[in-house]
Amino acid sequence: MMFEYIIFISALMVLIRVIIGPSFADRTIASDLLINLLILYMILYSINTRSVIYLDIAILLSILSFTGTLSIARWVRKK
Amino acid sequence: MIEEIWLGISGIFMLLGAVGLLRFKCFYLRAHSATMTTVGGVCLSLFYFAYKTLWSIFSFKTLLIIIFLLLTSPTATHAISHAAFVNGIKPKSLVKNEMEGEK
Repeated sequence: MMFEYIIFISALMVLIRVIIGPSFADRTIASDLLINLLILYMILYSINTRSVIYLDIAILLSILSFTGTLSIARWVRKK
Repeated sequence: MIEEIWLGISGIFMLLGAVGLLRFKCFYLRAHSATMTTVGGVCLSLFYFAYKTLWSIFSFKTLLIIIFLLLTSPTATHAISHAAFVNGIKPKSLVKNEMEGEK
């Protein structure tokens, strides 16, 4: 149970950076990090409920975060 | 005993990465702290879970997640850093700008 608390506190701190971050790049990096923490929490949850389907969701989330970050980097325009 | 030490080290890595994301004053330092330490902490913990349930479908999918994370997070960070540099976010101690006039 301590491990979930550590993940939760880290996620709160990253959420503060998502809200504050003075540019688009800060928010993108922080949201990518939030999804990584969510992947770890999903694997813990799949161990807890002994069900294998949550691992497929975790694989898909990592792919989604990767393509989302790359599309923001590709299509940001100079002001 | 081994479990608590291993997961404790992974948790310390993740906490330090999140604290560094809050406290640094330069964007590139924040990007370093965000991706390197937290992905390292996550992968340490995932290695432990793959070891606990070795040779099952669970461990194969966990190893797949580890490989994918280690391959793609430096690429994503590099892309975002390049986009930030082109858009005007310069590091605090820039000496010479070698990418003049790039789109």
